[in-house]
Amino acid sequence: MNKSIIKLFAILGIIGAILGLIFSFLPISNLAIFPAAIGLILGFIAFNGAKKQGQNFNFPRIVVILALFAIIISVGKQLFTDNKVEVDTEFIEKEKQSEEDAVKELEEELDELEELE
Amino acid sequence: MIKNLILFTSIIMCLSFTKGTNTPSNNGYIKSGENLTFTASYSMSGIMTDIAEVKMITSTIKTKTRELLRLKCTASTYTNWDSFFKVRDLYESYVDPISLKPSLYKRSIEEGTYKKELKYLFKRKSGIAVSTLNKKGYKDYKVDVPIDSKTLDIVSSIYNARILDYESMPKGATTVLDVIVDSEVQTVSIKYLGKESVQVAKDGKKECYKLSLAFGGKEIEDIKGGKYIWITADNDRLPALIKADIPVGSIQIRLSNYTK
Repeated sequence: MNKSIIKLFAILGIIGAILGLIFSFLPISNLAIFPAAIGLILGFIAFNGAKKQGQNFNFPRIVVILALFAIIISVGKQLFTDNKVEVDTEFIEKEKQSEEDAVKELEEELDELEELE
Repeated sequence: MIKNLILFTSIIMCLSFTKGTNTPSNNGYIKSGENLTFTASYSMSGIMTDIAEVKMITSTIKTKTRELLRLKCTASTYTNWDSFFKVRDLYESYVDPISLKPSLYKRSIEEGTYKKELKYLFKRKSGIAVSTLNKKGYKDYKVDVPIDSKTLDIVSSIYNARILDYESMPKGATTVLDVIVDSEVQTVSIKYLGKESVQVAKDGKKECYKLSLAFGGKEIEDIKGGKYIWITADNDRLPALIKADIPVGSIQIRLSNYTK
């Protein structure tokens, strides 16, 4: 593996890792696994290639660490975060008000509505 | 993506009501006090991202002269989505408890910064539904929509779909529907595809009726991106799973909990 291919793998890897990190902090964090896994694989290949050729492997190592970090955050959020809906008192009040308004309107318009029986 | 999900949820709600022999005439399945909770998710390569909770609740409403069934559907995003795109949608239909025919439909949506309120008052004696729209640029904007005795709204249509007599339908039987959507009566058809076992909340797998949906007469089953719904083949007639394929991934709405 020549130097330019190692560099290419490392650059593509860092893009995947950064995308994975961004995704991992968003609500779609479980989708972070895709770019992060690609970043991890490419970073690992670049790391091994650089190491075998005696080149500086700090950059590929950073790629691997960032990708792993994204995967850990993503998996952690899946394991330890529950789906919850905020108790929205304004929305609950709106539902009640809507029902009261509906009853009033149905009574007002009764003559125009079809006999239901 | 959430807008697509909400749109799809609305479209799915357009299920129902037949013009032919399958027309439900008597509701033996839907009662007051039913509470269904769904999880709406986006799925890509088998990885699910839960986005919102959808609830369908029935209750009895009494006016001075009669009793109605209130069919309430709400869609609320989970807390982790609220800061990005908060959704608080409320759909209501006030229907006759036996025929499930609506008298009043109300829709109030809040999706991010977008707000809209829509109401249909079904004046069946006059053959019209009075549509009242409130949103930015429109205040109490009224339109008379011509309807017939079978026209439904999107919420009551779901419940009507649940009470169709699938047992007597052959595979491939299609039921044509009239549903009022965005102040227009639109055609929706349901194709019965047979029975399949699917996961129903925490009850394990149950036998369900599999249905495919078509809008405006276009057969969607044959094109890429099918839209399907599974309804339990028992006395509960629960909508267990709704699935729509989209160009990248799919949207699923699955029953997560229920009480009757």
